Amino acid sequence: MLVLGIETSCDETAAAVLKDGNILLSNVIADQISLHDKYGGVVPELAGRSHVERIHHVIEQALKDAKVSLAEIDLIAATRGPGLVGSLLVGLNTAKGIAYSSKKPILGINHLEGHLLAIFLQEKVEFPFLALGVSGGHTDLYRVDGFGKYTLLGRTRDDAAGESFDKVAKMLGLGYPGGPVIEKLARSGKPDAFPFPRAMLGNESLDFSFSGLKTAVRNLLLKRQRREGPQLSDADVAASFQAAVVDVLVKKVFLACEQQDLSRVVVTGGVAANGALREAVKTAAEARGMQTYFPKLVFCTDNAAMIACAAYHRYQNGGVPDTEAMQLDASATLSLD
Amino acid sequence: MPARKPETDPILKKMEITTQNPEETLILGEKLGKTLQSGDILLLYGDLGAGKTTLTQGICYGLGLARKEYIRSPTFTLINEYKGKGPIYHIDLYRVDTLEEIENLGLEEVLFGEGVSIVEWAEKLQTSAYGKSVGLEEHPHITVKITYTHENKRSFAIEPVNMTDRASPLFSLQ
Repeated sequence: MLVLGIETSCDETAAAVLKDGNILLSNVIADQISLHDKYGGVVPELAGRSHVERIHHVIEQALKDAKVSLAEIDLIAATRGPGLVGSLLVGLNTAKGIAYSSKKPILGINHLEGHLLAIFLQEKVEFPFLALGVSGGHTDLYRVDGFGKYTLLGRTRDDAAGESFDKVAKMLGLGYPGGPVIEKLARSGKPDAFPFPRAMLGNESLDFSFSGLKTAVRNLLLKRQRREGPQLSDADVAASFQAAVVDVLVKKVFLACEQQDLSRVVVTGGVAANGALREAVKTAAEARGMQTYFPKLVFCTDNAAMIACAAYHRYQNGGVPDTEAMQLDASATLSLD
Repeated sequence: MPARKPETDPILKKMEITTQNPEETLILGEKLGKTLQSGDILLLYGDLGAGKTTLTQGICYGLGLARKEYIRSPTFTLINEYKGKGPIYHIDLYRVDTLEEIENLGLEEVLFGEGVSIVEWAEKLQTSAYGKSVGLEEHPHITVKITYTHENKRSFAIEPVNMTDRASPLFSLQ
């Protein structure tokens, strides 16, 4: 079975062709192709109208890379939320147009379901498991009991973990995205150089809060500028900050496993690429005799392969509601459970 | 309670309120939210960690958002929508810079629509010239400029712009 997946929920315009749920024939993300040549100059990174310029080219490229024709595709899938409605509509309406003209079934997919199931692109994980979705836009804990069976256990009440990396990187005058640059700098710093706050929000809460940590880093840097307080190096600040984020994430992951009696953990989303987080989750899991799973980086960040993957499993587990296909609409605040 | 500054403008064109901690910022936001009406635009100015998202959380409670709901930073998603008594749009321009990028967001429909719009990093409206291009500067709005005074202390300069008829409920904040 061939699924064409389309993803336009935020910055990336992406399309992928997936065979039988785990054989990825193509995975195109607009940034990777030479748009500069095609459009003469820099294409704005941000969503909305820029998706319109890219979408057809990206889909064509995905079919070409996969060496399949549109006629061979069995199912079309597009992200329908959450995200920017203007961006979502570009992908969703394109998908609807293709589905209508080629008389193929279509499924609207929740972007978050894509992230939760991205691991199935590379390996099968036995249900139930705990999923930590951690990126620039999300810090969510889900219990996953099966395809389509998700329970939100906790989420951030303010900033996402990845966002705090970006903002601390900015305060330190480092580049974007913040995750990789902080991680690199942190390698030469001491994680215990400064005890940044770890917001736990009570002993039993599975919610997160990273806004106070961001402010604490800022206060420390302002004081350092005034030659007050500990005169830490940038590397020590980065390492201590990263340690605080990782600490909170790991504590909540295993608190959730304990509360929910789960023994498998999937860490997904852009921040799952962070080596310190991977190491800490693995070490803590091994000590408890638990299994951990990390999707490859290319499946962690926004991509269309995960949308095709989620659509494949949804189709296998209930098919397509044929009456609703053309009524599919985008939703900015789509929830998963 | 947020302390009132003695030097507050006596003719109430602009007010300055200091909060001692994030909890007081939340309370100030809630009071501010209660004075707002459908179609209002709030422009927030202030550096990283100034408390824009905390203030917005309070504003949303004041606008009728359920207590168990938390608003999340829109830095990544750019525009978040919440349901209070009416729609609330929480917009964050942190990641955008150029006029073209802001135009691509389709912000006009949100700003000049039915809901209450709260814009973080409103500085970008000027630097990108977007505010001028859509006539936001002449349009009634409220600016809130947040500055650090000490570790957790924040000062909020609240100013109604081009909305003299409607400014009076704001003065109840003092």
